[in-house]
Amino acid sequence: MTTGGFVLGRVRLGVQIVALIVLLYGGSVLGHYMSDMLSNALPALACAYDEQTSDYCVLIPTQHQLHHRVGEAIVRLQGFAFTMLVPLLFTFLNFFLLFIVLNKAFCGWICPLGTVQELLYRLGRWLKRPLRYLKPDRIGRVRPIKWLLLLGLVMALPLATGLGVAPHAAGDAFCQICPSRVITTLATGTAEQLAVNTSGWADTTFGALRAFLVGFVVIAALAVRQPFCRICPMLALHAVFRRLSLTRLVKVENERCEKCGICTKACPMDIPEIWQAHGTKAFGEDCTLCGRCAEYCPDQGVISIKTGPFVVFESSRDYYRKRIKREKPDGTAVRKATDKPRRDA
Amino acid sequence: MDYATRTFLLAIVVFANAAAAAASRHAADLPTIVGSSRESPVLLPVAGHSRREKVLRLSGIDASRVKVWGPDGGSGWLLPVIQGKTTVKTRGPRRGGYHWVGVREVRGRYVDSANTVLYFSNPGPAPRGMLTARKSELDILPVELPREHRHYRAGERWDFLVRLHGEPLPGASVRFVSRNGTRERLRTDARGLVSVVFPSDFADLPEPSPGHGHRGRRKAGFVLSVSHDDGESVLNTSFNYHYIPGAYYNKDLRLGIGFAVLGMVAATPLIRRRDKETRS
Repeated sequence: MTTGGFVLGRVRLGVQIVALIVLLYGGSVLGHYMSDMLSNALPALACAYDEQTSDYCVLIPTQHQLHHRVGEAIVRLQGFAFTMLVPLLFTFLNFFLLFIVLNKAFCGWICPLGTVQELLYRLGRWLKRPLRYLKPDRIGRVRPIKWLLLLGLVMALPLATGLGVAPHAAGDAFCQICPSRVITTLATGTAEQLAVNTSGWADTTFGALRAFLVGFVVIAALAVRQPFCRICPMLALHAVFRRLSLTRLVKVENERCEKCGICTKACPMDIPEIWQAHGTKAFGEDCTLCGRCAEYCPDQGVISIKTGPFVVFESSRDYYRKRIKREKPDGTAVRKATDKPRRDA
Repeated sequence: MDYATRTFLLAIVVFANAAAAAASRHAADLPTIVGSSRESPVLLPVAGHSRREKVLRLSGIDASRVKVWGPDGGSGWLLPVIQGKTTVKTRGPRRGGYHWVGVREVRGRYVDSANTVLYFSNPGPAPRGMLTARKSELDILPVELPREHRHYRAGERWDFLVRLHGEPLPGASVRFVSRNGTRERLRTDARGLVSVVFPSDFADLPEPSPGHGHRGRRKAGFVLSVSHDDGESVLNTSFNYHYIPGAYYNKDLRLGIGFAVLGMVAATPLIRRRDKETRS
């Protein structure tokens, strides 16, 4: 696994680029109606606001089910009925089947917005911008935001809209502010999602916030790794079910860890637990299963990514030696080393 | 020029390019042309439908039955018309998506045909078979229908095919009439195709009443109709559906760019090197 020219980071980048192209431009390649077929089959990927995309993010049907099926049904029936929950459960089931297999690997390997932020971060290295780590105390303050967004914008506001107590714009409140909606549609040549809807105060507020977030994320990503991922409700949804997931991060206790900490430096989410903890605690709520901690762990088998009983990747000293010569843990390329193919460490 | 300035300018250039690309997609409003005064036969959707069942009302045409084609085409099936209305249902799970509904009336040498499509939020096959199936002597058919959750939008160009006895009909005069008052006369090309740019004619209408769902969404019906007189009979065929306002209706792109630039400015301190740069 760790011999020869295999580099997990490069494989992941390849997967991310392919996913980005398929999700953003797949509709054009696969045909006008094939996109609908895909969106029925894989309801957890790209943005529903993109006219050309080949699939939909799971957050849009989740919000729509709460808005149209649950909220409006409660109003119509003046009560609660099992039938209104069936479509919602179907949406969640469809979504979690994907999540049970991939779970957080969606964030680290497939999400288009995650890929764009990683590419921007690489651009930041090329432009020699400083790297801004988040200290553990700041991470503690940032982490609750994604849960608030999940509960407030993905669940509460769409439900309130269905109940008729929130404006229609709040029916997909998270999508209203999601920067992916703008960035992925800009990538397909339309700026319509960047435009602010001025037909009402709610639309205008959401549109202004969305545009502001896009600008902030684009620039911040040059210096901060994955700035939006840290508050993304999709990460929170994954976190809820990460213990049930087939794909997971595993870390075994090792006495050498205390003096090292290189795994946290390599982590694009600055997760301190991967260094300071082991066992289930090391697989934190912010993990995106990108595998960089395992790549940069210098000890054999301490950190690994597993799917079911199968080891997808595990740390090893040989791999670490090669990896560190190509790229620093913070993502900065080691230029001299990248020119030569390496056969051994 | 320092790196921060380069980065900032690069981001602005990307946004400006995207905005220009979007602006080029805008099409001009259609000119208003006074068309025929005769009412085209249409099939009008009746509000209050469910996900699996929709009701249509016949207008300008009288018939006892309508014919329905599912998305995969085939020979279709007949449904009764009761008190000028017909109820269309999908035929089970994963048989949803678009359905074509057509009705035909013969009055002496006049043969009228009205057609529309219904969309069911129920997964189903692509409507290619449905669109190619022969409906009547004279057909007017969308080449493509909007994807799931999409609509024809003002400013967009969509092609429609006119067929006579199953063959493309070049040079046919096609009337376009919208509920908002736009009238246009178009002509099919050598392949029997006519391109329709849906008019941006929503501006002067009052705001729709607010609603929980999409009931308040602005929609305008349109009718495309074509006639053909072969000496023995006069064939009149129409296709009616709806379109919605264009991508930038009630939207301000400059405002969006302004807030995005504001966000960029707010994030700029993150990418500036300090005198004593340390990893914080």
